[in-house]
Amino acid sequence: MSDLVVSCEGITRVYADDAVPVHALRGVDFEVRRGEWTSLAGPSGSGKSTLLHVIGGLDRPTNGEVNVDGQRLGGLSESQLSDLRLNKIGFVFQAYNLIPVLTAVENVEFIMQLQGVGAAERQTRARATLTRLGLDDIGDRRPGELSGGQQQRVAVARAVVTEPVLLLADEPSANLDSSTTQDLLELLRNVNEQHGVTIVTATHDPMVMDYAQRRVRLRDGAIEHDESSSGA
Amino acid sequence: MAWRNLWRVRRRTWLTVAGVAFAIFFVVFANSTQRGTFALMIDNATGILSGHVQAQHPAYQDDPRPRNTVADAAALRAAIMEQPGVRAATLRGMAFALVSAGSEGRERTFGAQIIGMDPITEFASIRRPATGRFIAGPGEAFIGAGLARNLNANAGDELVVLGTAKEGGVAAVAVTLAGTFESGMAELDRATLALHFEDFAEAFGLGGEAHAVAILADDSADAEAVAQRLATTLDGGAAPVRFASWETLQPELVQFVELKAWGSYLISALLIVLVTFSVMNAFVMAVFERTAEFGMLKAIGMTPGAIRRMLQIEALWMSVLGVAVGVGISAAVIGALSTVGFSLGEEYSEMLERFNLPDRLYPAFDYATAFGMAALMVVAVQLAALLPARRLRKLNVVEALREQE
Ligand SMILES: Nc1ncnc2c1ncn2[C@@H]1O[C@H](COP(=O)(O)OP(=O)(O)OP(=O)(O)O)[C@@H](O)[C@H]1O
Ligand SMILES: [Mg+2]
Repeated sequence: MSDLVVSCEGITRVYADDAVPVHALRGVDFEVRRGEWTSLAGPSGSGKSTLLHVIGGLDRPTNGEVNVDGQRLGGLSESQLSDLRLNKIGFVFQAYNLIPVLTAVENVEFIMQLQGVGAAERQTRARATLTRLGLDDIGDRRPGELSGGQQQRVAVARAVVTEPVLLLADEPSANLDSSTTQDLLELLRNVNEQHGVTIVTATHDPMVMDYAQRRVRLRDGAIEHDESSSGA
Repeated sequence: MAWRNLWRVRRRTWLTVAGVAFAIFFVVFANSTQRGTFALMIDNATGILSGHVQAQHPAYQDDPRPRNTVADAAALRAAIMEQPGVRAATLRGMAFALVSAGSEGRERTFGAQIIGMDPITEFASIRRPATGRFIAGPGEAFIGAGLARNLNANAGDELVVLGTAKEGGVAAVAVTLAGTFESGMAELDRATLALHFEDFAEAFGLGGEAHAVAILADDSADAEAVAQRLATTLDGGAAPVRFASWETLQPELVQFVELKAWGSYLISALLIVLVTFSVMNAFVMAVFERTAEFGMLKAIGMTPGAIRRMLQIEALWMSVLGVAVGVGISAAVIGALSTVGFSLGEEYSEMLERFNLPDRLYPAFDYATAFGMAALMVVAVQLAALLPARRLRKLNVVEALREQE
């Protein structure tokens, strides 16, 4: 298996619905190595979310090729993409990550239920993941009874319980204060370093960028700057 | 999870549940009371005179002349009694004649329907006397209370009946008034005289014939089937006979019942459509409000089909809850009323009197309607949920996710 979890070549994304076409991405070549934590940065409207959506199989590029874990996304049907997201990619969004009527542990179980994992195994794995991430004390609470930071951390637990090859997080700290952001980032670092999960985050938040090993700066839909902290 | 989703917008769930429950209660209640009313009405209206089925001369229904008789009536009656689904059968002579009472000079005369009946086998509900008693043998008469008032006759008085015999001669017979009846139908009470079949046969020259064999079926609802069965099995007898059910004999009664039934069908159908649309509206709103959630579910790998199934299960729970509440309330209310009874009120009092119904009704829980409505509402709610669920297929994850930002 290749060492590249993500490889994009010549990605463009043009929104042509309006009178004036919007070029959200204008030819992006981008690779992510296994085990790496990359943070996409750049001003608002620069194309961070769009790139993340394209990598995650949520949106199809106008031109170019996306490969995730050796699979060419352009060749996959909607339901194959859905399968890929379910089994290989974990998502953490800015908000509304959790199903409000389920408890934290049930939310974590839910994704395994979609995968067809048996009830007993779901239960143990969900509990184990929450415990491992230091969230066991809030397992039986519903999202409404959790703080924003706790919700985001449960979302991370939900995203990693399936042992995905890639975790995508779009503005995960946007609704959090700095101390809860710290907790969330420590959790992501734990997931990245201890469990080898490859992470791509998109954010404005300098704290998130500091935690990532690599920062990729976008401007007007193109990569402006690509820097690794280890190499710097 | 679907179950818990119901309680996110409690008010809307309860509105849906209440709508389903109300539709079920309304239709079940209406049918339960109506079925009971109709059955009573039909039994009364037919039991009084016509019976559920009659064997007549083929021309009698359209041309009720005395000469249109059924030959060998006693044998026919015996044969009918053998048939399944027949509870009772009795011979009848029918004619129009003048009835007089009072001593000479102060005589009063009124026209009346004369019915010759066999007091032993007769089942008509008019047998119940208001005053005096029913005829016990030849030489006696039993008349409507209205006619008795008009004639100013009391039990024990002599009445003279004058009419046209079968072959055109004068039919005359003198009888003693044994008692009177009140059927609840004023026209009937004012113009009916019953006397012994033997007196009738002799006076009107019937010989061994009769104008009708009146038949009581085991169930008034089966009358048409019984009539047809009798027609096939007893066909080819000595004389031509026509078997007619009460539906044919009293078309105005059929019309009345049908009109009432259609009225309530229409209201029921309207109600069901209304409830279905409001449920659909509730689902459209719910799906709209949960766009971000569905976007997230789709993003993490739930297929649109699975999301739709989840919504259908939510709909199922909702309708099951509505069915439980609706059937529960119907059963409780109808159960209570079946022992206490209830009055239908002013609007119906005339109808009740006309058909000799008690003024309190005791409804019986209509299981068939309850079951049918329960199934119908479950299906209707599923359909109502299907339309908004279709939107999910078109749901654009990226746009749905952007909505939250
Ligand atoms: N559905 C759409 N139709 C038209 N234009 C769109 C659509 N979605 C995004 N865009 C445009 O594409 C460009 C890139 O958007 P994108 O959301 O990727 O930026 P971003 O870097 O994530 O910004 P932010 O930091 O504000 O989240 C923007 O100019 C945006 O207006
Ligand atoms: Mg964005």
